[in-house]
Amino acid sequence: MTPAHESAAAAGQASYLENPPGRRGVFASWMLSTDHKRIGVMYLMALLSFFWVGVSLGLAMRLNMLHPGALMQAQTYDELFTVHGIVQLFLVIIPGVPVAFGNFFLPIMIGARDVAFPRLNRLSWWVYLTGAGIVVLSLFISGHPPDTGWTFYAPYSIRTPTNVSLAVAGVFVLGFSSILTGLNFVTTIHTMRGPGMTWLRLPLFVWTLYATGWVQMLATPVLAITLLFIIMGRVLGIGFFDPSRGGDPIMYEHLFWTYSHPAVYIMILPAMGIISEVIPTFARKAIFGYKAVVFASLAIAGVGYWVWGHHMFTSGMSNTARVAFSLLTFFVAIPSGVKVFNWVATLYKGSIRLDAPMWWAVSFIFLFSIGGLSGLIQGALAPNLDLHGTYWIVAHIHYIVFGGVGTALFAGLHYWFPKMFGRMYRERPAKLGWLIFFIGFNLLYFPMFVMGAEGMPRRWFDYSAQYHTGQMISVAGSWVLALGLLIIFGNLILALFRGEAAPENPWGGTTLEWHTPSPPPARNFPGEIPVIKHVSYKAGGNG
Amino acid sequence: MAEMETAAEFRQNRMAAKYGMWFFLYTELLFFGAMFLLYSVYRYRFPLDFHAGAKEENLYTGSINTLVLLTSSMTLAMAVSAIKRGQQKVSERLQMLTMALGVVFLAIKYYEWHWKIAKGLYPNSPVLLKLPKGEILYFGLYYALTGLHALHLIVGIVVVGFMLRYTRKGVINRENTARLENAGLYWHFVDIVWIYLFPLFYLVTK
Amino acid sequence: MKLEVPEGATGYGILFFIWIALAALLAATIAIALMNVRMAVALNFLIATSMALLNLFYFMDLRHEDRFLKTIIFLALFALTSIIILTYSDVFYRMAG
Ligand SMILES: [Cu+2]
Repeated sequence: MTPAHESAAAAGQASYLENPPGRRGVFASWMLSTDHKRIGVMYLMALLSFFWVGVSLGLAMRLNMLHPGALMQAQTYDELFTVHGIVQLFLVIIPGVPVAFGNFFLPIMIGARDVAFPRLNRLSWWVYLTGAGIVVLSLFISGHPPDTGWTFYAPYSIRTPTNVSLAVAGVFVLGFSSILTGLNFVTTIHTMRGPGMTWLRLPLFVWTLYATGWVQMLATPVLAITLLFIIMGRVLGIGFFDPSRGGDPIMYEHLFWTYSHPAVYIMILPAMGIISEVIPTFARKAIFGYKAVVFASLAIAGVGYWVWGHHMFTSGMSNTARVAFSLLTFFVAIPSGVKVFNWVATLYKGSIRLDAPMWWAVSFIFLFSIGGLSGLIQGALAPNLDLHGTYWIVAHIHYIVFGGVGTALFAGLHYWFPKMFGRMYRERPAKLGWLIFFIGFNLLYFPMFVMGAEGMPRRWFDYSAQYHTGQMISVAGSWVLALGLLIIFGNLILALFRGEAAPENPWGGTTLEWHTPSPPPARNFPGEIPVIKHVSYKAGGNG
Repeated sequence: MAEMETAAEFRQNRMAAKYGMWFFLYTELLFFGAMFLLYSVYRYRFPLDFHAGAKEENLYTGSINTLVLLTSSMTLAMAVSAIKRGQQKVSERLQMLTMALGVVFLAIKYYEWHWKIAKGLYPNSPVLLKLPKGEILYFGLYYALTGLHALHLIVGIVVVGFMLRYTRKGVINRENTARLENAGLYWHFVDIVWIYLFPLFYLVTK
Repeated sequence: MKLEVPEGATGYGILFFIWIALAALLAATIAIALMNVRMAVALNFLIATSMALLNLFYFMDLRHEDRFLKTIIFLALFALTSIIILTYSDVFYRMAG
């Protein structure tokens, strides 16, 4: 392989990071690029920037709990948790893994030169920026930022004087970006697989992107139309969800969660995909039960359609529906459980290397299991009546979305950083950052389970004395977590500028992205695309 | 070798274009499907109000419009057929005819809206808000659903306009029909949506 | 460079015949509504579906597509149907209020 690489490099195979010769400036050349790798990197930068916006808002909310009322008014607190939710969910975590790592690695992993529709891919990126811009505008334009909570529940979202129309319009636009990305990926996986890349040789990350793509295509339109009706309700007075005009607010909840529960799988499936890449690599072992993991991904995407009602047990919907949705919710836990067992079984008797990505992957399993099992408790009808609308739910969603998807994103970031940027980060600060993050995370969110079980309502600006200790631990945890994040990001940013050059395959990975230079050339592979001979995880790999 | 790769790439791109377009239509299906779901729930709750509201619809214009749209679907399907046989001029005329039929549909739709608005029946109007709740919902759904359908049709007319230009320039030709076929898929889908909208608003019986 | 056309063009005659069939179905569905037949709503819906199928298989040429596209359309319909059924598990059984 190596001599071939050298001759190809001599033939002018420049890295994708280098600007192609031409009259375009650096900024224009990136923004106008149709290279999936450049688009992936730009998405990643945007996501991480918005992530810090969301983190800052979250820290401010926690800070309020030190002494409610000293720092902000109740209205400000309402706006904070609304914007925090909109930013972290719609701008960061839902697009999250697919747009950043999916864009960068999907074509390389299946042995293609680009996605099926490169220009559509660039369009999705622009649409994402537009949607994000509209959301940001809703914060700064005259009037108040939205205060409905990220769920935009009707009829309040139709009546509140805050800038809900703009924020909803922004999320509507972001939905298009999501649909186009999913469509592009599914088409790519169908039509662009490289030589020898049969369906059952696809890396598991690709399989999760495939399942996610379908959910993006078949669930997001429901959100789009629902949000459009909210805007029409505010602007034109169409009262589809307004009881004074015959509308049914519970129908809003149905349609909203018809999208927003599957959206959890849009976030978590690709995150699971990353874990399914990292664990075999660092256990030096083929994944245990490849086909079971593939099947579990598809099953999660499928069954995930039938459980949205578990968000509505206290909304006033019929008892029949409550029982049906509760039962179905238990079914969706099965494929998730299958995956956890497969990861753990892969570790069994592996020769495990504990580099930074692996710490993140292992903590993913831990935090996701807590999040998932707490989900079963609140998915059962009887406990839900008590837990709904309390801190328990806040703890659950953060263990799934931040502890699950967030740590998987960091796992991917540390795993693929050398490939994406051609530089190594320093290992010790990376591990230290992980440790502080992990401690801070549990300090911040675990007390919320306890407070929630004791009845502390979510979205409340103030609390009674019995929750004082829990709140204080949680506030302190938020600072520890922030410190951990600072170390992690500082370390990576430093590596970006001063890191050592990364080798082609620093971790001994077996998938195709490890058979091309770091960073990859503009056409992904220096020469011919390597022919795949067996499943990527067979010991020894391909190439 | 290079020649062969081009042929393989051509087939690959053609397949991708087809798949991509069908996938897009699935998202559209869910988009309109959610609206139909909302319609059906409210009609189930307010059957009499929906019946009363539907009395405002004009069965003649509705039926003529359905026929216009069905015809336009046929002409566009024929335009695809023509280009595959290499009959470029015939295909151009059929595409123009399709666009014209689309405009006729919109014109008739415009008058239907116009008549209703003249009576004071539009969302948030004082007349409408005095009606029973089910009728408020009925007219809201009428405007939202037919409006979004008309918006899709306008997009369709513009798209066929571009196809006409490509056909004239020879970009779309006997060997290269994917774009026109995809425009057709979209147009036929918009037609199918109307096929369902028609009975929902114009044929509401007991 | 000569590239073969992957599938044949549908004949004008067939397309015109489909149009006739669609127009006839349209007439039938209007007649059913006007005559106040029992179960008119269900019949209207059935006729609309057959019109949609004619459109799908002849105008949209689904009959010449590969098996995957033919199968996967049911996935989209299945997703929509399951959403409708589950929503009605609430709507049908909600307590009167
Ligand atoms: Cu859920």
